Amino acid sequence: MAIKIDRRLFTDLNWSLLFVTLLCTIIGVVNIFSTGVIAPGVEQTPFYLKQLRWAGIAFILLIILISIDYRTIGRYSYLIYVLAIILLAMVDFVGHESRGSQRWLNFFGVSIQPSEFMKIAMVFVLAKYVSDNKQKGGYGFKELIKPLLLLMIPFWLVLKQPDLGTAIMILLIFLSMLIVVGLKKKETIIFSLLSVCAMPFLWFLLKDYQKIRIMTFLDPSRDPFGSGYHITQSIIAAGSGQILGKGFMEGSQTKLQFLPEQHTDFVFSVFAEEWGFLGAILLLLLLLHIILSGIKITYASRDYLGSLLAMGATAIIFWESVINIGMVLGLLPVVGIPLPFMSYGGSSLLVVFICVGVLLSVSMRRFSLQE
Amino acid sequence: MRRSEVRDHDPSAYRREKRYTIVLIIVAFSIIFLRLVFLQIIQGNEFLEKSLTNAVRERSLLAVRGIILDVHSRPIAINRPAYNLVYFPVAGTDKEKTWQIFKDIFAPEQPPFSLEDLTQEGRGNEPVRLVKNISRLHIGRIEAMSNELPGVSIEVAPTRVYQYGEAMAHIVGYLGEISREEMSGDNYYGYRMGSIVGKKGIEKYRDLILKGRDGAEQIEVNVKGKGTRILGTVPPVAGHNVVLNIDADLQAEIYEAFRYRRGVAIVMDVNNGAIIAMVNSPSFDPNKFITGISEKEWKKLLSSSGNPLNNRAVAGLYPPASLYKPFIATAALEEKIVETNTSVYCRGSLEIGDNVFRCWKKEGHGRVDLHRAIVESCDVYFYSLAKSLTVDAIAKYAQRYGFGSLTGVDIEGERKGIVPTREWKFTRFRRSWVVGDTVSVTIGQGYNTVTPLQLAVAYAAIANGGTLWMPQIVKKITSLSGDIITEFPPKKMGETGISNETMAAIRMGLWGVVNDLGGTGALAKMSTVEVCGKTGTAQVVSMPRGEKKARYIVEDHALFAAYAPCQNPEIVAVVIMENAGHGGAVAAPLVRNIIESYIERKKVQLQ
Repeated sequence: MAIKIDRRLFTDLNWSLLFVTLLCTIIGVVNIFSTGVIAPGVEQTPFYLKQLRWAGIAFILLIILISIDYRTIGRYSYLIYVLAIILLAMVDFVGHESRGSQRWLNFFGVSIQPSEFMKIAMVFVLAKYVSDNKQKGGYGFKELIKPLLLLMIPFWLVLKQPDLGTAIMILLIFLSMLIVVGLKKKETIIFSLLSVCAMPFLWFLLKDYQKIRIMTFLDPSRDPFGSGYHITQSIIAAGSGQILGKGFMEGSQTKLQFLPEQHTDFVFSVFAEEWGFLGAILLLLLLLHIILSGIKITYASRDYLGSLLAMGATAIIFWESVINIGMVLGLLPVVGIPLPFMSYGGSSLLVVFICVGVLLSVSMRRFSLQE
Repeated sequence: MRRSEVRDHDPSAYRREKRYTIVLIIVAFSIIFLRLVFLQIIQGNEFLEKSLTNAVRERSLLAVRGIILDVHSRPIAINRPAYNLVYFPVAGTDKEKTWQIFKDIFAPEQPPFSLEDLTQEGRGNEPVRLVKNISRLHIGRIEAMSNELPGVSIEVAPTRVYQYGEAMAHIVGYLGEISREEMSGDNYYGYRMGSIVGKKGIEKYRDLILKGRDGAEQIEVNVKGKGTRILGTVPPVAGHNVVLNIDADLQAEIYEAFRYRRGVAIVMDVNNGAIIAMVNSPSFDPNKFITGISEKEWKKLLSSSGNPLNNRAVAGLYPPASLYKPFIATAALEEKIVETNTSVYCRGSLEIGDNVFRCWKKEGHGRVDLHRAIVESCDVYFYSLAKSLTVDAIAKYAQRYGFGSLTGVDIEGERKGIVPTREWKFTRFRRSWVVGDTVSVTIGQGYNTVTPLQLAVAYAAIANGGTLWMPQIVKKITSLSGDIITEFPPKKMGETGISNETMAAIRMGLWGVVNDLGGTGALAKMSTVEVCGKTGTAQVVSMPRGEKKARYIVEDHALFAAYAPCQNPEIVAVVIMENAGHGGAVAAPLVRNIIESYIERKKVQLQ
């Protein structure tokens, strides 16, 4: 299949979405630079440089995604899904562990996190399945069995690692896409009730440390030293930024190492400490712009597949942003979800760039109806 | 929610869903917005204050590790205070200047750390331990200069002392800093980088019980990193003490007897499996691991030919040699291949198939029955059994005595050994079993391997009438104040199920080994108590093939297993001395000394 870059597609590109994406990524790299954290080991590369390298790769991937029709993605979605599942299962056998959970795979010296890629594979497969199995009047229980199976396999594998954050993400992506899939009225009600009832059972699947985290969130005085301490330090960092912030590279919480995981899960606190309320609001608005663009693209797509893909991609960015920021500001328990564009991590950055690539691809082909 | 029929070409039909979705997104972002207003604008000043003036540090308070005691409450592993030099990186300090001060403090020597240790970052809230076990002289100098040394403090941390050093090394093990692999595994959740954990022996096997729970303390520190106020404390909980079945003094005495020799000795209570002594030689000094063993010493330990780190008692695989004969005899009697009065004429060798198998006694034993065959350890008698006794039948009885499976001892690294069968040989070598193989097995050579601990358990079963007890090193766990937390009652692993007549014949044979005229174990005979036992001499085949001249002479392993007293037995003792010669000549006297010493000690205890 030859890749033809249609002139009209070029003019129809959502430039503002692309621009804001790149802006967020640059802010992210600058912010990681400010933490000054250096990768341990022999090479001693600063994390911001590694992130910059990843951003370059991610950008190339994005260009490729724009150039191909998203229906091609649809065609390969089952293959991608199966590959992602295999990678995920491989983690159990050959993966290496970090902080009590097994999440990484090593490929030619590059560590990748298959559970990250599972999120986007979930979007692809669900979009493909549903668009191939349209249902008048929305999905009922019978129609939902297969999509639920597609959900449960990766959900279980991720939960087993254990990676509660990604498991929740996969579930949220599924539920978000149901908005576009459409459920029959009865199913909608029962489904929501079931989800609520399932929560307590989820509790038994959790590892002890995950339970402790959640209990600590509900009552921080339970564990003022472990994760309670991290949240406290994170809130102090964000709050002490005040309106204008302490200034670039001036965050004392960051510099004095009070803040845990400052280049990954807690980057937002670093940013809020150094750039203050104004900086934080600007970042929120940029993220909001990306998300609302995603919703707009979802409902402007010329076909069902495009809508579903766009909704899934938007859901990833939305839920990750909200859960991560909610977590570092003490609104939600600590579950280890990265902040899109901002957190250090190649796998995570690639995935959000794939999301934006899908959005751009769906967006620029919204008028062309020729098959 | 009608949708799919019109979906593709009419997105405007979904305005309602689109609106709801957007509202949900805006609501979520608004909550974050309000939270930021609250944190950064309304409470911003307070947080700024907190972050600038009152930095809160978290410091872990180490729990006191439980101690390890012997059966008579003699301390084996205890704690002594030691002082560590620790450092919290503090922003805005002149690291070069700090380094210069350290150079003065440690003069005339160089500081045992480098400038890079001061500049390293990214270790979060844990301090960098610059020097472990720092001397009092240096502590004094540091205290005097403390105003010039921001972020530097002296931490009191207990260190472990092993009272019995090498004699107990394989049982108690040693401690070390947690490794990256251990840290990421499931077994060590809640440990921190730098935590001290058991690396071997009881220290490792009972780590969770010994370690207690570390506490923590939050301290306000000023800009120089000095603590100004304690904000909150979670007190540490001390670990429990572990009481062993081992008699430490007996253990030390046996270890002395092994000086410059390689081997194992095990002493076990035949009536409950309590391990009274378990000696491995060569050994290592666990105290050397405390301050961190040097690379050179570690490599020396690893490459040393005697393999001092190996716990031979549970992981050493030896040919049982003639110590296997009582079990072969058991198989022959139980399978009705011979009776006690069946006799064989020993000419010093026996021809089976194309091979000639030699007895250890060249001139032969003459006419021997089962009793004399055990007493004088006649090889030909046992060779002759191979004609009718199958290897699978031998394996059946060997397995009933616990050979070929783990004894379940409460220490890590135990091995199973090999009880060969036809099937085993075929899966292992893809060759079928030949009668010659069985002949080797009847005298405990060939494919057979056992651990010394398996021998102790099996001989204990002969002594106590057929019960296999699980060997136990740990007797009980007690609290700091000595109250019993957990006791480990004797645990039966099985019964041999051998008939009384057979058992009586075997025991009679073992009595004769020590007490009959011409018995191979006569050197174990004592006046105070009757000893039953069996000698063994394991041929070590490691002479390089095809060499015209052996480069070194390999001497046989000397084995002896015994229990005493013969009536109402109390203990079993197994001794293996590597490359030491004949079991009856070398190992039997040592067993006698062990039993003598045990009886003496018991008398003293009773008084």
